[in-house]
Amino acid sequence: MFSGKYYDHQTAQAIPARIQLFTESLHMELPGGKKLHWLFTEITAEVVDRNFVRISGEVRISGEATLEVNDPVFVKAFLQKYKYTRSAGLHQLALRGGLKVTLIVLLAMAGILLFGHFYAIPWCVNRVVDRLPLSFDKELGTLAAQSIHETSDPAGNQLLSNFARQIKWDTQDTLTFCIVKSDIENAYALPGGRIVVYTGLLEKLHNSDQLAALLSHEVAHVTARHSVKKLCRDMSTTMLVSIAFGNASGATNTLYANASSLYSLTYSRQYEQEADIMGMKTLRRNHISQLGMLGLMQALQQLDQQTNIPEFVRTHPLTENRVNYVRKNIAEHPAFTEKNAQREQLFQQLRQRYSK
Amino acid sequence: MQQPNSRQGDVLNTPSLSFHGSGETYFGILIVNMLLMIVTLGFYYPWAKAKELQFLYSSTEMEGSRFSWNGTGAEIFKGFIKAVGIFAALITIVYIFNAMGLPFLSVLVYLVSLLLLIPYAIHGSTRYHWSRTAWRSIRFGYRGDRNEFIKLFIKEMLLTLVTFGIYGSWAAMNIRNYVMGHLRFGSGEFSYEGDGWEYFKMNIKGYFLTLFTLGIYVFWWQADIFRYSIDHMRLQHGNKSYNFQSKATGGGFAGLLIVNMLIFIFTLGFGFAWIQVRTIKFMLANVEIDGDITLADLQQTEEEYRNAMGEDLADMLDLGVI
Repeated sequence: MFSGKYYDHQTAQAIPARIQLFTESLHMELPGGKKLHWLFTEITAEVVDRNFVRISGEVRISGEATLEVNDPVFVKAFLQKYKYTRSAGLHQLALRGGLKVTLIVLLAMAGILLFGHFYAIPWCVNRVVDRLPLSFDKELGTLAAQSIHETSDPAGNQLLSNFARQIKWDTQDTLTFCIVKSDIENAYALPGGRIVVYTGLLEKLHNSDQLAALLSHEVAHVTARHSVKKLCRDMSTTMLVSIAFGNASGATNTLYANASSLYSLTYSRQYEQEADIMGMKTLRRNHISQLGMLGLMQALQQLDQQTNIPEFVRTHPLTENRVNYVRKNIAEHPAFTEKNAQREQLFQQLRQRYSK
Repeated sequence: MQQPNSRQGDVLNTPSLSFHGSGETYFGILIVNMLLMIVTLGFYYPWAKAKELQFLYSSTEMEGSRFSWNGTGAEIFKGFIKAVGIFAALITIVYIFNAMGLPFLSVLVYLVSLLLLIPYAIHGSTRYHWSRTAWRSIRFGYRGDRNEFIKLFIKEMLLTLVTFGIYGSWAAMNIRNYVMGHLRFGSGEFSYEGDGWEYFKMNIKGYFLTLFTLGIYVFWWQADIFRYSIDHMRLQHGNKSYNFQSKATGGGFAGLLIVNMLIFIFTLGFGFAWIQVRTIKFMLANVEIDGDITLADLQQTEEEYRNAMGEDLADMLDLGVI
């Protein structure tokens, strides 16, 4: 015999009930000798925790009725008999199993998130980007260029474009090359084919092979559509994160969004390496010395020593790292090179124009 | 209102509220919800929400009996589909106006629809939410009139806008008076007597003292806000009534909020469940109820209302209604 409280859905009276459990039903005795018999197939049960269960059923004449029992022994006994008629969901397991089930679920979820982040999303993104028309890159690039607001030097652009024309590019994009006067020691490529070199970096280059290597690297970003891929990945990751934490607070959301941006740096590193290797191929195809890439890396290495940031939080692979795989790549693919006087001349003109 | 079971004498009752849920159990529920949300790409959301509310209400006890929340994932899902429909229609209209070269009109349509949608969502959400809440099988309910509420809400919002937010305190009180004044607990009727001027003075005092004390007063301000929302509430049943009183102090709030923040930081957000449980426990423990209502006399008067569209709209608009 167990005791519980019976509610008749008419008034808020808690009517004491004496309960007996049978194999397929439960029996209730109310004050005044009223007896009720509920088959397990006719009731719904809400197990709130290990101590408390709420059982709803039907009663003749008055309709609905509810029975509440606050007794861990009853909950256990009831569930043993009741579970044969109803399957237990994950929630029920978590409620009854406590921390163990929760931890298993937590691990499973972490597994799914990691798998999604490192395999499923990149795979899907590559498929999706393959199907996106190139005009999408173009529009994205135009949009980005508009928001950057940089004025390039027309005469320099002309020289750099002529320089680039000496190289055969394997791409369907229309490439435009620009030079922007600035001390920033960097260069970048926008989707759709706009490549910008800052004079700060140009000054650090010693020969035309290094410039060719730099352009090859940037063009590789464009042909491999790295920007669009990164955009898609970031968006998917954000979506995944917001789905997972959709019902938690906004603060948690921001926390994880920031954590995921740390991870997305690894994508960029992977992209940088891909662009380096693709750039080397372009150099070989054009019979340009691959040492240009090595020289470029070494020039970057010197810049690197001024700013010491650990590799983990950097977008580019550590240049020492890059020098190593470039060396290895050169050793694996020895190639025939030939001098191009016009290229060399254009490079000298560029140097003169921007030498301080 | 008839009271066939009313007892004799003016017995003073002091029903107490308590929360029995543990952070551990709640964490389990939230984690399972998250897993299922990920696996279903978010489509589990309505069921997740129902599970969460069921747990929170069923863990809350008054006079030895637990509250219950009887909504279902299916109801919220249907509401969700309708809410998505409304947003899709709105976006289509805005898009069409834009395509016709009328950007001004599209912005206007968008803003006006949002202004209409917010009270609509609050009304629907309140009605659904309370209709699904019960204690000892007696349902709560909301009997506000939709059009009346939308008119009131828009009037208060426009006045707030025109006065650059100064009227906000009056607006908040008028809206709360209306919503709480139409809440039912079976045959019991809630009322709320908020006063815009008092609420305004309290907030001004809180704001400046917080500034002068470099933020320390914020906990006492919080306690004032909490006290204001509790102390002006009443439950009336026939000629009997219950008064509500907050005994939460600024010090109490400081303890609660500082520890909550520490838990959040040191668990990298995973302590969310424990934070929420702590907060609920604190609030319930700090509400005192006294009066001469005999709770067992409350009768079932409220209809069931299963349309969850307002609830979902409120979620989409990110309105924390309840």
